[in-house]
Amino acid sequence: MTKNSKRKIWHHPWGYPEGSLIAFGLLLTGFLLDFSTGQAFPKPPFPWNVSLFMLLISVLIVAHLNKKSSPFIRWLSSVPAAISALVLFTFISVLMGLVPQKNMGVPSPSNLLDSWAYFFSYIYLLVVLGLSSLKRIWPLEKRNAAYLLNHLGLWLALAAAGLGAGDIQQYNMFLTEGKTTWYGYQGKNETIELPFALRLNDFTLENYPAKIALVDPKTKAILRSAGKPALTDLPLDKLKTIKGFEILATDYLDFAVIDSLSNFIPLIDTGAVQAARLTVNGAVRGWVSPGNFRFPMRIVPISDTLAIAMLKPEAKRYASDVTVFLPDQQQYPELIEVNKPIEVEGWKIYQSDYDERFGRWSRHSILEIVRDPWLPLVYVGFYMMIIGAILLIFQGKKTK
Amino acid sequence: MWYYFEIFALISVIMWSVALVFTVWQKSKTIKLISEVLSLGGFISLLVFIILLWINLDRPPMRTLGETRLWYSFFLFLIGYVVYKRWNYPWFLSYSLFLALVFIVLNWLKPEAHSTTLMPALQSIWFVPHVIVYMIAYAFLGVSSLIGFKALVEHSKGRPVKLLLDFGDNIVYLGFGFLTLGLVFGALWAKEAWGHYWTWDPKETWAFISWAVYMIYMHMRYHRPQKETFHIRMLAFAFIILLIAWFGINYLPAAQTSVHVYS
Repeated sequence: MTKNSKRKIWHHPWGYPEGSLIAFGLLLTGFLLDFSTGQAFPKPPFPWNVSLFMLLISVLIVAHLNKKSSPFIRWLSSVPAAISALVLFTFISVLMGLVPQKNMGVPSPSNLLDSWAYFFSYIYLLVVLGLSSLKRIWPLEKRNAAYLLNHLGLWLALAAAGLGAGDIQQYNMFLTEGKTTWYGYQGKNETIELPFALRLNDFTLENYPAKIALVDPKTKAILRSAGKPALTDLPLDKLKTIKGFEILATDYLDFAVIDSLSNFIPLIDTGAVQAARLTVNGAVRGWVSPGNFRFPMRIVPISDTLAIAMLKPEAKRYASDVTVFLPDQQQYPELIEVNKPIEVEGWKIYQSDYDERFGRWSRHSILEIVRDPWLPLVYVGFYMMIIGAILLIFQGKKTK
Repeated sequence: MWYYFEIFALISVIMWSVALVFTVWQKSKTIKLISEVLSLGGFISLLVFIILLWINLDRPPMRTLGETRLWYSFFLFLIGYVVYKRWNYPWFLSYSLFLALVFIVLNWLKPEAHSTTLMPALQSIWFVPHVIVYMIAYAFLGVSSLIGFKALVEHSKGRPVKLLLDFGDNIVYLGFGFLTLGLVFGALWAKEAWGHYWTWDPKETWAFISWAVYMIYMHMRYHRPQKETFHIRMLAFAFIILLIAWFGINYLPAAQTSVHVYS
């Protein structure tokens, strides 16, 4: 700051002090607006957001072309402006990282994403980042490749993500085996008729072998051992020791029913449950089972205060086997699985949930469907950032 | 308790500890050679341990904090060793050995119940690249923070630190490149798994904050390279933000709903 120390504040060329004051001013204005309006800033849908996007680009280009005559515009594309914009945006992020956030519409410390303060910091960042990118676009030079990919890529991703927010549609679909559904639901009231229909042919769920735990026989609460819950994977092929008890599962049935003598026998039947026969410290102690809607829970008591129980099994994979129906009478089968969404008529369809009371016997499947028309633009930004990052790794820092 | 093959992790710790002592009291060429052999031996032993753990769990050992710490030690040493050979900084090997040891020993002090289960959302082709790229980034930035502390010491003794800071820039740019990859890979994965690429999940928020902090550092370095005192402090302490994003977050009230809070 030695160079600028004799300069009065707000006299050009601006530097860091002006940046700090502008950032602080934006933050304060934002919070005041939040406080006085008590309303979220508007997130306009199509076609308003496209117009705004065009307007933003035009304003940035015009500003860029006039930067020779305006020291303010030159400052906006400088490093001090970039740092003030980054610090402001990061400051609000830190608040979001410290105060638990819930999205509820009204801006508050626990809903900063809807606050004007967030909005201003976002716009400020977009303007500064946009002007900085334009600075190196023309003449296009190879040595600016990493700079442009990183700055323009981030700008594109941020701009498209923010302006596209108003166009994102997100609904749930509730499917039942054998039935065809063409409605999406949001919350309790909002319903949408979809340009396609899905018939759930089969919902499948595979479990991991259920874990076992030491529990209190009365409350069934999991006990703790050395500060952690006393539980372990099912000890199928080798002994496991919890709290001094050597436990081994001599039999494990993934699908079992209880026979008339109260024993578990293997049978694939609706409501079949997991069960394991345990030996504890070498002695056979009987069956454990988590139980389900058909069979009761079964524990192995060890003492008045201690028992071994089997926990509800964790899902390994679950999927919906569906038939897709399109408006033009076309139909085809699809499998929708976690991490493997499908795309139909511009909607991405995700396996989201099922009827947890019934677990693998659930006849219901809950899907999440999302339409985000701005996604391709965001992804172009992401891909630019990926190439930019790779260039950064190989080229390293370029000095002035 | 882990498994029978934790003996390999123990071998790593022993070899690295001895190597660390040797790198600090590097009297002769022979000792230097022995320290290098021991360092590499410890590294290979850790690699064997990780591979056996992977096979035994039948899933990538990247789910829990302890598992990510293993990878961290692994890459920290690898990067430290390459930097040491490339620029011939003997102190560098000692520092990275020390830090790598700290993170392995942490796993002994906080043993985890390893489970073979992996929730469906984590079963993705993005799982391995996302975690690995992040661990490489964390290792580079951990190394850059070591350089920061080294510069802090040198600076307090009135010695010049420009070369150290320039060296730090190389490491920060490498680390930041990987950090960006981790962030974007995470976003691409999130879109496939949860329907949106960015939801300001607490982990995402802190990942963004640490990314931004290094971004601020890089811009400051570029614009005002002469403000060395500021840079040294920021370089040394920026890593703390990163540690919050990595595991400090598990202790924050905001994080209790995160999809990233590891068991």
